[in-house]
Amino acid sequence: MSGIHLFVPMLHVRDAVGEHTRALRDLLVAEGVDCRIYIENPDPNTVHETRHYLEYEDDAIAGDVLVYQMATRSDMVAWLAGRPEPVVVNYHNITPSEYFAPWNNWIARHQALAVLELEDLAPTAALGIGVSTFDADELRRCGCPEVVVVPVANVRIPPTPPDPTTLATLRGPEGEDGPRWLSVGRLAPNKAHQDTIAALFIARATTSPEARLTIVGSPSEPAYARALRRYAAELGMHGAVTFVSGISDGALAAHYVAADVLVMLSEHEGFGVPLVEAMSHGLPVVAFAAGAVPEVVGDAGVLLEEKGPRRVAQELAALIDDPVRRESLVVAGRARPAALGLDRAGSDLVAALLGVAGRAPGVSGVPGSDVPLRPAAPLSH
Amino acid sequence: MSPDVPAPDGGPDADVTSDVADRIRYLDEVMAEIDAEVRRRRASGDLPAGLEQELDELFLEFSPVGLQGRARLRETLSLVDGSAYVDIAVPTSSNKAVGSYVKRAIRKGLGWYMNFVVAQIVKFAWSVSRMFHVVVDHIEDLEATVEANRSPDLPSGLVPATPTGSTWWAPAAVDALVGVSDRVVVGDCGDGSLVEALTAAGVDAYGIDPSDIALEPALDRGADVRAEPVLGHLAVVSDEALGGIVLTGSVQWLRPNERVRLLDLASTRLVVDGILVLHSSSPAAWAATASPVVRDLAPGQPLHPETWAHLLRSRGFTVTATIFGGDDRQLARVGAGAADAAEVNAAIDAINDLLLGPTEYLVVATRER
Repeated sequence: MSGIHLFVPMLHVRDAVGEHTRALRDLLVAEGVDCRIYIENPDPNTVHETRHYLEYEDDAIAGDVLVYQMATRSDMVAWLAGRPEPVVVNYHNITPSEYFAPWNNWIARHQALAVLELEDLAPTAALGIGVSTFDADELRRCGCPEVVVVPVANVRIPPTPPDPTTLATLRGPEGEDGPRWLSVGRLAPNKAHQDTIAALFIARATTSPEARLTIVGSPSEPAYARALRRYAAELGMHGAVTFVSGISDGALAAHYVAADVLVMLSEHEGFGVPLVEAMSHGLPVVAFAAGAVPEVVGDAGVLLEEKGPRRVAQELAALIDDPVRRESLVVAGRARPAALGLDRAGSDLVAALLGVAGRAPGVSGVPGSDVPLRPAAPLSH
Repeated sequence: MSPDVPAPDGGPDADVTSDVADRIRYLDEVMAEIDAEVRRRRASGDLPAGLEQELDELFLEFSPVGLQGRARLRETLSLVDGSAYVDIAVPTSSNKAVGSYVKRAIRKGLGWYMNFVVAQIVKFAWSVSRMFHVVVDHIEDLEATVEANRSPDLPSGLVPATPTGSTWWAPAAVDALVGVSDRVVVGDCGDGSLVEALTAAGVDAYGIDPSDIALEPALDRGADVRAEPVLGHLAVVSDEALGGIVLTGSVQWLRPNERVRLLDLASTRLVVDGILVLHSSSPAAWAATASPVVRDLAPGQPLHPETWAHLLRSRGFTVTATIFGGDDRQLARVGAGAADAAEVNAAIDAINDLLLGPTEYLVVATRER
């Protein structure tokens, strides 16, 4: 039986692309589709659920569809471009190399090459799937002939319940009532966590002396992560800024529930999963309007056109001190995942892939492969 | 209630009780006002201008290419070293057996050519990298030398305050500047009294002082003053924008190189015919009256008026007046009827001349070119 197989350079747990890939595999398998995940470099945590991509040559069956999860460069791309099977590019955005250049020359070159690979692969792709309109536009610019928008498939709706132990710890004893800012995202230069720390410094010096910030994210660029810690310490906020990584979904949910506001000042976002996670947990969002952030947040959060620390501190203080506005954002935020189509993102994605499978030459036995391809509606603003 | 406050029993102590209660109420009101002011300042975002830029620069210090302040030269150098290598071992893996064979053949066939070219590129890159290492070594040596020679900053609490209120030299400074049509800046203006005296005399004057606290009385009175250090302010003023400059306070204990920079800036920021008024303690008075800690830690010390005159002349100024004043620490002569009056007065004159001259002086100079 032919299948729909997923290709990703590395499969990480608690990583946006990794979790999306695993969720998609589970959805396809639930539909009765033969689906395996192929990787280039093994991750010890997921090695048992993946195969090396060159092994696919022995597994290939006529009628297969190959889905590439693209966010970085990989030798896999040249190999996929030479394959006879239809290739779908599920595009999660490539962080521009200039963000990494000052920190990590190797990753910067890697990202620059990834853009070239996208330009090579996109024109021959059977379908391009952008997780946002922002990403879809980039696919079109690179020559992808057919593009649809389907959001990421790994946002849990309803959201994961908070881990009670973590929640109790985070809420702490009575009396520690300063505003709790939360920022979620890898410690990578494009996330601009330093801007959030600077805003916290201003807030503590002016409107909110007791404000605290928790940054949840893996230190994916160690030099940048070290710089953030030094920066916070140099500003005398060693105790006010907490860095957390490697936590469970329940613990992350507890952070969303315990916080007063999610701050995301990232300068480049292909989607922004933490935004919808926060909104679905009833946490108001204040975000810099970059990349796909405006279409994801819509009217359900505070969007900033500029993010000077005074402006950010002012917006956060105004939001936290205004219970009526805050409540209206909470209500709008809870409705946002459904408005974005996240509740049906999995089925939309499966339908899109089955549509490609239905057109594939030599297709045999892919359930539902007669489902016509239906372009997903663009995300509303 | 405070345990010191007697109970209000309406007896003979009633007046005392009322008095204490009033004082406590008054104290509570004052504390509430202070709290309100703190909240107001915090809410207004009343923070120093340029803070946001300082925050950005601080973070840049931690960036490998920030190269500001305590730059991470070695970290950046390691990036250069890491990039100064060209790998000629082109990957030959392929999904097709023939593809891998072809790639290996190309790599082998072009190996001699690639080796020749790449060897030159790598040699060049390593030469550049080596040069950077030499430069960084020099910079680190220089930093170590400069650091070793750097005098510690004066503890802020010990910095001598600029005299406030009327001073002996203020009328002379006003006289020197009356009639100047361009703006006049008073450095280290303290409570702004000289700025106000100049303004009252029809001079378009404003003041600067690095201390927010020193400026508070002037700000409360609505004087045109701002919190800036003299050097920083003159650095951003346009050439020939000022008709007069008054220097006092920190000008006395500037580092030698800062003093030279101050004079260079003053000579270009003043219009031709502009007036510079410089007030200072005399070196002898400084040595006799400044606290030992200040004398030991101050990066510089007051100059003699002759030295200032020399420095000013070298920058195109003409010194038009040198006026001495300040505390009169001279010993009084004895009356003519006293025993051995002539000998005693001769000794007193000698002591006054050698040890107890005027404690302060004012130099007035005009920019001639």
